[in-house]
Amino acid sequence: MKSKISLAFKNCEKQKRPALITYIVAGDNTKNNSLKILEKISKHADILEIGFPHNTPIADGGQIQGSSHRALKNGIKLKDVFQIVKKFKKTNPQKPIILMGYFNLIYQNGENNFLKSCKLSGVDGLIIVDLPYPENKSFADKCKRKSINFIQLLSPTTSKDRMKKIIKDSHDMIYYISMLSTTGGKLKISPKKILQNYNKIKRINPKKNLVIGFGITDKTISSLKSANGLVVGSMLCKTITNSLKLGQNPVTKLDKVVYNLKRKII
Amino acid sequence: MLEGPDFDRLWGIPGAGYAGKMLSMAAKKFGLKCKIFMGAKDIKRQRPNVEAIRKNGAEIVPVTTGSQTLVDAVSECMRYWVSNCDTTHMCVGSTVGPNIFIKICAWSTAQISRELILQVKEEFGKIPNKLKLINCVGGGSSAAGFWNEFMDTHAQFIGVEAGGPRNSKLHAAPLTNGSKIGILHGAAQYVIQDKEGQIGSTESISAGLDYPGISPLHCFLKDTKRARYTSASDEEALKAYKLVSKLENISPSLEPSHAFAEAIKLAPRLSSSEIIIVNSCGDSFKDKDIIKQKLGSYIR
Repeated sequence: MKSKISLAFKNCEKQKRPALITYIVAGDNTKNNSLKILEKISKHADILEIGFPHNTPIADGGQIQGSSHRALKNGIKLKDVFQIVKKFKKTNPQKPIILMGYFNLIYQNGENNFLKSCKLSGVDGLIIVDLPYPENKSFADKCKRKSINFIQLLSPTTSKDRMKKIIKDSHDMIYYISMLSTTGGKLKISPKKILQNYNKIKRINPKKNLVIGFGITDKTISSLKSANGLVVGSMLCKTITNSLKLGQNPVTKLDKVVYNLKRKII
Repeated sequence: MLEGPDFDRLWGIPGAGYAGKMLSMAAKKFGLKCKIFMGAKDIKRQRPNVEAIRKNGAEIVPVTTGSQTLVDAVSECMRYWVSNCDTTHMCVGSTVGPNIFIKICAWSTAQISRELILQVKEEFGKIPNKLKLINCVGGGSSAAGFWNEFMDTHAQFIGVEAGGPRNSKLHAAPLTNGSKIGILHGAAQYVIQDKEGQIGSTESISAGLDYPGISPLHCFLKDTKRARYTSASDEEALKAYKLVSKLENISPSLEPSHAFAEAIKLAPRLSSSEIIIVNSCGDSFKDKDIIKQKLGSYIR
């Protein structure tokens, strides 16, 4: 049986466009709002990434740090993250959900326990930022046995040899980090260069769904639309920050922003 | 390490500022740009080192996130490094972080014990039967260096963590207080954290020891029982500082004052044939503001 993530990519391929993948932090700015945001943006986005916040997020830039901080201040716990996913999946069973975060939370929760909760709530995939290859092999295998996608990361500094190994062990989706940066950095290399690197990776195994993330905003997204998928995260976190500052409703604001992003890639 | 035309920058992270001071000197010598990441709280409490770093022409980047101490400085330096690793080397002034940084740091600090073991042999003719090497541990770099060459001898190692203020629940002593293994800054280690796995707050009078984790090297030495770990409170460290400065011709900073506190506790119970060596791994001058505030005056 094909995973929901694979189906989402297939569906986008048919429509000759990249998958739009959004990222927000669970519990930013409240648990209820997170659920409302997911329900709204899932009309435009193909795959939803949800961050489970950690208070020492070494891979994240200012925007996602801010979102994580807000969520933790509101008392978000791992069990709340699973609650949000479960509630969302009740009304949107086909929409793929990917949880993204740092390994210590999984380690303290217990790998098996964590995967059980993923299964029960309907999580389709995982991105664990600080569990690199090959240290992630055994956990990735565990995920596979439970039909959960473990999403491997590639970056501009990943050597070709290493890429080949990682791609060989990858599941239905691979994440290419566009540039040397934390999340939310300004795009410092040209989309053309990013796509050149992207195509090099695609040539290793054209069948794998490869998405590009880091530094993608409404300004840059259309120039990268030949990819299988594009991830937008920090821009959405920034939208939440700004709407809170201005006393606006983050739910309707995000709905608009994601709708606009989608329009730029069809 | 710095050969090749692409690399022209060094970025580092000190807690108390020693490593930053040394790094800025090295950068000056070799004509490299140097940025030092330091918690805003540490910039304030380690002013003399900050001034020395600036004098060497390095830029200090204040880190204002989280607790504004070492843990946040390490995070921020790593963020900058992943964003600039095509032109920049990251230097970690403690035995923390991903594997290779621990090795580089511990190999460098091991110079202390390379010299010490010669001095010990010269003084006693051999390595004494009952020898205790006492060192403070925060990230654990100076202890790793102090002990390294004695690893295969019968010398006893005692690591002293920062117990924090006597009346506070906060501390920086994950080994002494039974913290669980977690993952922080790219390494598994005993680390102060809550049940969920969020990294916990720390408190210590000593900037260099104020870190929630500890080098995986020391976690290993604890698990294999090669070293013993204990802690000293802020108050005990201050008291030890006072006593040592009064009696000896040295003035230890607040980090080694934790080690001296343990030596003072331990010494009365030992026989005269036992030898204690304490690593006075820092000078009190950098702590003059804290000492003045706590004890009323600072005299060298």
